[in-house]
Amino acid sequence: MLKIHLPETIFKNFISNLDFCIFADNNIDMNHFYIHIPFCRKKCNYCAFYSIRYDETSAKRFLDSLLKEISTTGSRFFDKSQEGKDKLDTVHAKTIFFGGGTPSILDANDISKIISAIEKNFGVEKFDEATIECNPESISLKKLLIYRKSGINRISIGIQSLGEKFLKFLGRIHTKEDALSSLDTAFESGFDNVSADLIFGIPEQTKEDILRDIDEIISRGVRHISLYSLTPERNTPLEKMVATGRVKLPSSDELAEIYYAAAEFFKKAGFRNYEVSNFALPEYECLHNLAYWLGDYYLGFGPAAHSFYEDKRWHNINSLEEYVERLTNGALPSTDCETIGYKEKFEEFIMIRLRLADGFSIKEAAEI
Amino acid sequence: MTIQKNIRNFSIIAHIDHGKSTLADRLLELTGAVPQDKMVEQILDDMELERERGITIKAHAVKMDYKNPADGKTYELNLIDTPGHVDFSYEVSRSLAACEGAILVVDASQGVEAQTVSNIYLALENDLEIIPVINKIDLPTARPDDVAEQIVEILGGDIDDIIKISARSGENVEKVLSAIIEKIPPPKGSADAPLRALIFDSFYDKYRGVVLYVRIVDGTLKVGDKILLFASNMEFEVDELGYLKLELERCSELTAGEVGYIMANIKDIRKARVGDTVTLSKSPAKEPLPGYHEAKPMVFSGFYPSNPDEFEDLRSALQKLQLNDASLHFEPESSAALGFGFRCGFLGMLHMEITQERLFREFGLNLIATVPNVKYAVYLSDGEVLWIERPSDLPEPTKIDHIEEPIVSAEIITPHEFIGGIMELVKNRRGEYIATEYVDPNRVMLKLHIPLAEIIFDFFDKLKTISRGYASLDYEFLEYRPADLIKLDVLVNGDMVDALSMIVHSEETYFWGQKIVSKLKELIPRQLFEVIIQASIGKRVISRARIAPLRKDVTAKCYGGDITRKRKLLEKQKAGKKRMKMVGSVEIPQEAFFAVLKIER
Ligand SMILES: Nc1nc2c(ncn2[C@@H]2O[C@H](COP(=O)(O)OP(=O)(O)OP(=O)(O)O)[C@@H](O)[C@H]2O)c(=O)[nH]1
Ligand code: SF4
Ligand SMILES: [Mg+2]
Repeated sequence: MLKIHLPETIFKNFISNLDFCIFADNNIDMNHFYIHIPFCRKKCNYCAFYSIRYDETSAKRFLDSLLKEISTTGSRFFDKSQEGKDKLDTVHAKTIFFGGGTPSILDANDISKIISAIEKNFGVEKFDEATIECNPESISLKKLLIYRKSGINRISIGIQSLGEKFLKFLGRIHTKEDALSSLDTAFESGFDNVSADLIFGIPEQTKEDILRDIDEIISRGVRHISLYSLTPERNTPLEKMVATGRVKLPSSDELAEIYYAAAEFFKKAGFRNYEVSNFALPEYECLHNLAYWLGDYYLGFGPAAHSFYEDKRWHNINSLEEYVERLTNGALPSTDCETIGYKEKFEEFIMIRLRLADGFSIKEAAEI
Repeated sequence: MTIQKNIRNFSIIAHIDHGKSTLADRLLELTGAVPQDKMVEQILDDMELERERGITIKAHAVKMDYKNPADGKTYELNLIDTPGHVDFSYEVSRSLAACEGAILVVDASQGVEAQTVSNIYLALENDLEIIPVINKIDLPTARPDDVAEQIVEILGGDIDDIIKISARSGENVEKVLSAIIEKIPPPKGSADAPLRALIFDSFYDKYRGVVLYVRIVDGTLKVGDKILLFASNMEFEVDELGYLKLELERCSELTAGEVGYIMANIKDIRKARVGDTVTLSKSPAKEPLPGYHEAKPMVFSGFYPSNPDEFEDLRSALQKLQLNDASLHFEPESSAALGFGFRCGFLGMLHMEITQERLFREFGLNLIATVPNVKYAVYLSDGEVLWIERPSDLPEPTKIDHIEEPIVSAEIITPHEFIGGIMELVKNRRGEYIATEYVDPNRVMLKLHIPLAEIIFDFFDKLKTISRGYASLDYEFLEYRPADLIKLDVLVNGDMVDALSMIVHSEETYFWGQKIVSKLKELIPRQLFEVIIQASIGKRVISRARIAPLRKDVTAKCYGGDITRKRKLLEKQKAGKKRMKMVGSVEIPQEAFFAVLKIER
C-alpha cells in the first residue's frame, strides 16, 4: 500500500492548471474506485446526474479517454516498490463501483477492460465488492455473464417503480415486465448480491403501491434496496413541472408516512435500515457507499466523477467533450478542488455519520 | 454674493404626487441650473429610495441664478422641494422656516386634498407669501376651473392670480418664475447685525464631518470665522462655505438672506442639531432664532440587528441618519427574545419603513423590527404616571389605575358617495365623528377623532380601497384620552416572547389572540419537536395552536460521493437559520416579529 502525499503548492497548481501531479511518497490508502459511465438511452425527468445520449462513437472516445485517465492517474499515484505497507484504520475492504448514467449500456467487455486497468494501475488483486448499476432495458444474460467473469460481484438495478404509470411519469423507458425479468436474469446468471433502486414520493403513489413493490422485489431474492424520495433537482424537467405547478409533490408528512411504513416493512423482512435510504439483509450492505459515509478515500474516474483524498475533494469536469479533450492533451480532467478544513470536516462527519444507523460516538467526533 | 433685495427663498409644497418635484425640474431647466442633457425626471430626488418609489422623502434645497427678462437683473432663487407624504410634514415645516414664500401646487384632476389643506396652514403659520399653482393641466381629466374655486375657498385671494401650468410640458412655468420674483418678498435680515444662521438640515460626510445647511438670517459669515452653536455651546472654525447647487459650490462668504452650507470639521454628530442657530464666537448674537419645535414621534418600534455583533454599528448608523432626519428618535433597549437594540420613534409607518430600508442600503444593516406601537400614558394606582413606549413594559394590571392613549384629529377629503363606507371604517376603529365640511359640490372634508393606534397600520390602505383611491387623509396629534386597554402576551413553548407582546382594546383581545396565534403557526417552521403557541392575558390563555414536529427530511440519492454538494446544502440551510432567533429552543423567523402587521381586520 502506498500513501500519497499532496503538497499544498501542488494542489494550488492543480487548481490553476486543472491538472495535478502527485508524488508517490510512502503508502497509498486508496481502496475505493468509482467509475462514471455518462451514457443513457434517454434522460429521465428527474435526473440531474451527468449523462448524455448513448452512441457508439462517443462511447469509444469515452473508453479511450477513461483508460488514459486511469493510467495517467495511476502512474502519478502509485509506486509499486512501496507495496505492502499498513492499511488505513477505517478501510477494511476494496471496492469498485460503476455508476452513471447507465453502465450496462456499454459493451460488457469494456467493463472488463476498465476493471483490469484499475487493477493493473493501482495494484489491486481482487475487489471485495465490485458493483455495476444496470438498467432493466439494457441488461442481458450475456452481459451479466461477462461481468461475473471480470470480477463483478454485485448488481444494482435501477427499477425505481413497478407501477407502469409511475415509470412513465419518471420518464423511464422500461416496463414492470422488464424490471422483474432483469432481476430474474441477474439471479440466473449466478449473482446473489443483487440490489434494487426504488423511488417513493411520486405523485399519486400510495403507501400500498410502494409496499407491494418492495414485497415483490424482495420475494425474488433481492437483498439490498435503496429507497430514495423523488427530489426536484435543479435544471431537471421535474423541477420545471413543480415550479409551474403542473406537478405537486407530496408534503413531507405524506413522505414520512410512506417512509416509515416502508421501514417497518423492511424490518419485518429482516432488512436493516443501515443508512437513511438504504436497507439490506445482514452482510449485504453496500461497502462502497459505506466508504463514502465513513469518510474513506476514493478516486473517481470518468466525467463528473468525485474524488476524496486526505483533505481534498475534487471532481472531474461535467462534460464528455472537455473530458476527452483534456486527456487527449495529456492533462487530467479534474476541477473544483476544495480543501476540507477542520470545520468542514467536522460538519461532514456529523452530517454523514448521522445518516448511518450506527451513528457515531462523541469520542469519535472529538477525535476529528 | 447677491444683493439682498435680489434674493428669493421659497419652498414648493403640495399633497403627495401633485408634481412638486417635476415643477422643480422645470424651474431648474428654465434658470439654466441644469443643462438640458443632464436633466432626468425629478432630478432633486437623488436618494436611491426616492427614485425607486417615485416620491420625495427628504426636503432638497437648491440655488438657481436667474436673469429676469422683465428687469434684466440677476436674482438668486433658493428653492426647497418638499415631500408630500403626511409622515414627512416635519420636513415641510422645517423648510418653510427658511423661506419667505411657498409655491402651493394642486393637481388639476385631483383637486384640493388633505395635505394641500395642512400645508396651506403650515405656510400661513410661517407668514409666507403663497403662490397657488394648478398643475397637470395637460391631463384629459384636468378641471382647472373647479380646482381654482376650491383653492380660493380655502386660501381666499383673487381667482385670476392662480397660475395654471403643466410641469410636464413646461407650459406657463415661466409665469411661476415671474410670480416668485414679483410676489415673494426679499429676505429682511441685516448683513451687519451679529450672525444668526438657522440650521435647517445637515448630513454626515465621511471625510469632512457634519455638513450644515443654513439659512443666514442676519449677519455675514466668512471662511476662517470661528462659529458658535447655540444649543450645544460648541466652537468650530469654518473651513468651507458654499451654495447648494446640484452639487455643492464653494464660495468665500454667505450673507443675510442667503442659503448655503458650512463645513467646520464637526466630527461629533450630536453637537450639530437641526434647528440650532449658528453665530460668531467673537461677536455672538444675543438670542438664538426660534428654531424648531421638536418633532414628536408617533409610532415606536424596536430595531434589533439580525447579527447581535452589529449593535454598535446600528447605533452609529442611527446617529448619522438622525443628522439628516431630525424627526428620528432612538434609545437603547434590550429584549429577552431579540437581545440588544434600539427603541426608535417615527412620525409614521412610511417613515419607519424608509428608515429601516436606509439602514439596510446605506449601512448594510439587516434588522428585525418589532411591531410598531404608539406611546401610552399609564396612570398607576399610587398616582405616578409612566410613559410606555413598548408593550412589554406595561406593569401588572393590579398596579394600574387607568391607561391613556393618543388621539389624533384627522381630516379625510372624499367624494361624498364614499362617506357611508368611510364612516363604517371609522366606527370599527373606535373613531368619533366631529363634523363635515364641503370642499366643493361633490366632495366633503370629514373631521374625526381617532385613536392613533387604530390608524397607523392599515387604515390608509383600507381608506383607499373603500374610496377607490379618491379619499385622502391627514392627521395630527390631538390629546391623550383614557381607554380600556389590555396587554396581550405571546408564549412559545411556555416562554414569553417579549417582542411580540401588544396592547389592545379589551373588546378585541380574542380577535387579536386568535389571529396572532394562527399567523405565527403559519410563520414558524416546523421543528424537530412539538411547538405550542399561546396568547395570554396575564396568566389566562385565550388562544392556542400546535405546530407538529417534523418527521422526515429528504432522502435523496447521493451523487457518487458528492459530499461537497450535501455539505453546501447544509451550509445553505444553516445560513437560512441565521435569520432566525432562538426563543428557548425554538427557531423563530424574523417575519414572525411583525406578523401582526399582516393580520387582516
Ligand atoms: N400629466 C402630467 N403629469 C405630471 C405633471 N407634473 C407631474 N406629473 C407626474 O405626476 C407624478 C408625481 O410627480 P412628482 O413631481 O414626483 O410629485 P411630487 O409632488 O414631487 O410627489 P412627492 O414628492 O412624493 O410628494 C409623476 O409621475 C409626474 O410625472 C404634469 O404637469 N402633467
Ligand atoms: S437512467 Fe439514471 S442516469 Fe440515466 S437518465 Fe435515468 S436516472 Fe439519469
Ligand atoms: Mg417630490
